[in-house]
Amino acid sequence: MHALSEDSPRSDAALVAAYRLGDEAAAAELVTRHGGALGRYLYAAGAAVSDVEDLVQEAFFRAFRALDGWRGEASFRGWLFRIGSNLRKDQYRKEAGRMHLSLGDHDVADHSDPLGEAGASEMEARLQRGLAELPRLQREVFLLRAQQGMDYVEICSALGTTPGAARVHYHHAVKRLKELMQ
Amino acid sequence: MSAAHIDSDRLTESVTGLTAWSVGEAEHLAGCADCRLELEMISAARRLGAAQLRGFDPNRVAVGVHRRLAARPDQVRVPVVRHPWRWLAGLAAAAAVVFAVRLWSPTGSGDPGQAGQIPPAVVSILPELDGLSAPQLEEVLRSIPTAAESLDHVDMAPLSALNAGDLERVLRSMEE
Repeated sequence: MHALSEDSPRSDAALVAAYRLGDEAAAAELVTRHGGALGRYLYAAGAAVSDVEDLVQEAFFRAFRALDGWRGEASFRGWLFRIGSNLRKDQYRKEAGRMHLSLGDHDVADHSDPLGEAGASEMEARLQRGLAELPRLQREVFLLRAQQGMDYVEICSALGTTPGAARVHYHHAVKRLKELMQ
Repeated sequence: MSAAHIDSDRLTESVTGLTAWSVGEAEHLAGCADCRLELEMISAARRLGAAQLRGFDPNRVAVGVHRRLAARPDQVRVPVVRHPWRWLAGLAAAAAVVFAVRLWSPTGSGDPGQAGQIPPAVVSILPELDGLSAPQLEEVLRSIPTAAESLDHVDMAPLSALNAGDLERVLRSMEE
């Protein structure tokens, strides 16, 4: 068994426990650890860039406020993403199903690097357009798996589905995206 | 190129750096446009948002969250319900939905001829209401115009009093 050194990062569960005991820095560490990933997920799920920070803040606020609702056997990250996903779902409904597809500076071809970043950006733009065509669950399962690297059990805790259903959604998403991108 | 494509999990793991290609997989990938496309899609998904959210600052988010939590310290760690009526309203809302579902369910214990009577099984999940007088109960009911409008409160403590079957019915009724 490996002994944890003093420099070992604390687990999410340890940070949650510390926060419950009044350690405010533990909360900040959780935000720093997961905030960026949650933001990129929400953006990829169709949130406008200008809304992402507010959505992430709201997700963490709700998560900390309702920590008693977090069952330790599920990952904190999955639970947090579930809250974020629900927030995005509410926003999506209010926007009557509108997906934000941004064409920012990064998406414009960079002629100083014609085969590198520009090609990658074009692929990202095509993927984003493809994602906008998918049903919400397929899109979210794909992003949690491909973008966030979650396993299917964690995806279940994030989306409230079953591992089998998540796997099916993922394969549907991949198949559909391939059709859209070919 | 071999006929079998590379497993999706292997593709994902390779992009996240959890695995390396075997010789056979590398050969397959070189000759299979389908697998390469899937790999490129996963790689693009990993990058998605990184450039667009360059201005995103988790520390700023942390400060914002901290400020908001500090402004509402009563709701941070312990979900204390400050107003007992709100708690009761939540309980009554959940109970009303369960009760209604039981009455409407063709397989439920509800009998349309006895719609005014609460079945004992339902009463058993409402011990907190027992101590209230009739006017107080009326006030609780008036505070929840309809079960559907009151479902915002159902995420509070009283739901823990419901069993799995009742919770399923509450959820189904919320989705209808």
